[in-house]
Amino acid sequence: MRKHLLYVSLLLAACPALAVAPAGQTYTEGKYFTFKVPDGWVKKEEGLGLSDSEKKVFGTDFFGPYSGELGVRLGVHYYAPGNPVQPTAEKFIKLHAAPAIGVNLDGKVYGKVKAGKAGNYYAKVFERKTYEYKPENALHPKKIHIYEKFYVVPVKNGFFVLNYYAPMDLARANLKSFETAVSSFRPLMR
Amino acid sequence: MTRLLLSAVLAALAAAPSFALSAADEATITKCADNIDPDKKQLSPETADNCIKALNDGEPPLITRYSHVDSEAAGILIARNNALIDLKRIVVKQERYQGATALARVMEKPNCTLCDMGLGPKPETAFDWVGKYASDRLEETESTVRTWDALGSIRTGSLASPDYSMNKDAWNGQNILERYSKLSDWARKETDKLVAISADPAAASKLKMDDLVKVLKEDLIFGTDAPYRAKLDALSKTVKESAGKPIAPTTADKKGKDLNTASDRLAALSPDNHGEYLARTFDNSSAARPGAFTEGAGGKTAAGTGGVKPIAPVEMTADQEKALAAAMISVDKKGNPTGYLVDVMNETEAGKRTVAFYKDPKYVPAGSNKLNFGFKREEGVFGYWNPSERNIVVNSEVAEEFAAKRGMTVEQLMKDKAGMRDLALYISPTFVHEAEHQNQTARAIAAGIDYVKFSNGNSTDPYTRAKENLSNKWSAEHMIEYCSKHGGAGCFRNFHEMHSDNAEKFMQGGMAALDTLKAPLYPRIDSMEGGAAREFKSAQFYASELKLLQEKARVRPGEMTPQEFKDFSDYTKLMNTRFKWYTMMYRESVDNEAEALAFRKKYGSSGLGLSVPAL
Repeated sequence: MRKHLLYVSLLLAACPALAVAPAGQTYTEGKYFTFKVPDGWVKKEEGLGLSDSEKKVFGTDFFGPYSGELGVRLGVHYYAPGNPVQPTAEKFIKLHAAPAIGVNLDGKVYGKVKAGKAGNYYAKVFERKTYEYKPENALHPKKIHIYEKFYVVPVKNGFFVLNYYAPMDLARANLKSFETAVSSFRPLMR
Repeated sequence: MTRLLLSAVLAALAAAPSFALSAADEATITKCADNIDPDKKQLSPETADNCIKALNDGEPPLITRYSHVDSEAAGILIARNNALIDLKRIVVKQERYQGATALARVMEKPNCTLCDMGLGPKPETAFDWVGKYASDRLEETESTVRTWDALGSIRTGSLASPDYSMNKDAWNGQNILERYSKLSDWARKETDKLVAISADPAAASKLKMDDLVKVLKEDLIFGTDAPYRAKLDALSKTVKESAGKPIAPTTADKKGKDLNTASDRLAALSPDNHGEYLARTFDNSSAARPGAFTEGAGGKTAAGTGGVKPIAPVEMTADQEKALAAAMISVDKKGNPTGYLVDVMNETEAGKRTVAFYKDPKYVPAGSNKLNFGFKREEGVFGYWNPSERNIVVNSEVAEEFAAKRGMTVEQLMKDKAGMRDLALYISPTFVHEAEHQNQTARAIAAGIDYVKFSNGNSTDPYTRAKENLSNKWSAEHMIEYCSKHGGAGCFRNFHEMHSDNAEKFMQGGMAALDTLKAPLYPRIDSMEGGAAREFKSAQFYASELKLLQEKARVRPGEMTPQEFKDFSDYTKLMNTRFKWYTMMYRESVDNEAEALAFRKKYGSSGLGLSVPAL
């Protein structure tokens, strides 16, 4: 009897679908770019501190499904000339398409930089496989595998970066959403 | 005596004109005060951010000058505007259990500044604010704090059943983390029920098993929930089998497994092979195909396993722990630090700064730079600074495992100079990191802002995440500079991969990346803004009392009692230390970010010999 009652409570509860975020829309970042956000992905606003104009970096991140503590992330940013964070597209690629400290640590994997397109715009494209270590300051932290993909779009004034970050077990399933967003990318300034 | 005290009070009050406020200052203060007044319904985090910058501008900073006019109001300005900044950052940057822990810290712990503005202690009171200032994050925030309406009908339907008799008011009446705990309990019970039901195929077929399993797994987040997660995994497998479906991993599962397996093999590949291998692996080629890639030569790592057979770690004795610590770093008769660690640290600016700290005469009177380093068994951790005991500890297991990978005991390692140098290098990032924490305490004591007191008489200033960011910065800079001088890239293998990874992330994104990276790992530690809000909130009683005493001293000084004179002195000192702590911390963080950008510029372009892809 007890089992039956429990079954009923769960069965009734299970009927409605889980909450689904609104369908994807075109996102516009000021005068810099637009792209289509994957369905159901959630925008993560920048924190405070240095403002976008102080950093001369404009953009945003959207989060998709989660695996444990880590979520799938799509970021699109415009780096204006003179920004102190990533001064040039070449420098950005140098720091991300190869180990920023010059060595392949702990089996990280860096793909070759290839030619590609983000929307109708020429881009340099590369992938990499990195890690997150948790918990912090442990002698034997757990190594969580991360897949990332980058599109770097140089323009006359500055450059754009579209990047994908995903725990490995979610990487494949959500990559298409990222690629769809990339294909919809359109700079509003060049 | 009273006459002397009166003179001192009047002198203090007379000093106030030197902190006179201009009309522009007054306007800034009014704008910032309006922003934090709940009746004016602003509470804007953007305005708060502008206010904090403006209040810290000038020499002395505006907030310092204002504190001499009205310390209570100045304290509230700092506390509330920082609290709004902190809340916005938590809401937009953190979610799930980490976000919940952070929100519990700022809303439910004592000295809740947000609560004074109607934001807390119940998180539901902040939903309108989130909707106004971070609307895209409202749904996520509601889910993060596990409010009843965001639980979804699977949970609420079950929780409202006679088994749990829960309703919205009772549920939302619980603290944030209590909700997570209750959901874990609920999910455990429902998991057992689901497993039992699944024995009856007819009953199980009527359930939306995938939805139920997904929801239950979302709530089984604690380490002790692992057996229940395993039950659900087994249940899912059984259901698929009984449905006659082939049991095949999803594409993502299979690819993840492929890559996980491959990653260990890739460690020895040359970088040129990685890209090809990655592309092939991710584009459905077989990772296990014989001859698919060429093995690199490998190399000697921190473990030093080349040609050496590792042994099982051998525990050190207490005497060996002391001897090893002394060999790593100790102070000679002239007061100079010496040892293997010192030799390593003298190779870098960050390391030299660390060594110099231990012989800096300005900290000697307080004894705050006394070297107290040791190895101690602290299972699982790498190392830490203990501000109460004022000692730096490295887990004995670190040395034992390091030696074992070289086929040695620590006793044998201590007779091997090369091995000792390598161990010193291996632990040096941790030492630089933890010594910076000691340095932070010493700076606080020297500045008289060490108002956090321990029962053993030791003291420090408040602990915020800004301290961790700074320690991580110095540690990363130490590794990067050391390796730029010693073999370049390959030298990073001499460090724990977690430490080298911090250095890499620092080079990619600077201190902002470190804070973003670390914030979810320290959900219980106040950010700089959160710490400021808490400190001034906790001091609000004293600020209020001081304001009354200041007024009395101005208007009716002859009526001041000896106790009031003493209180006036004590409260003035107490508030001054907090304003000094805050302005010091603020400026230090700004200066360090600028220094970090300069460091990245220097070492990111030429230090490590990377080729730049042509565009």
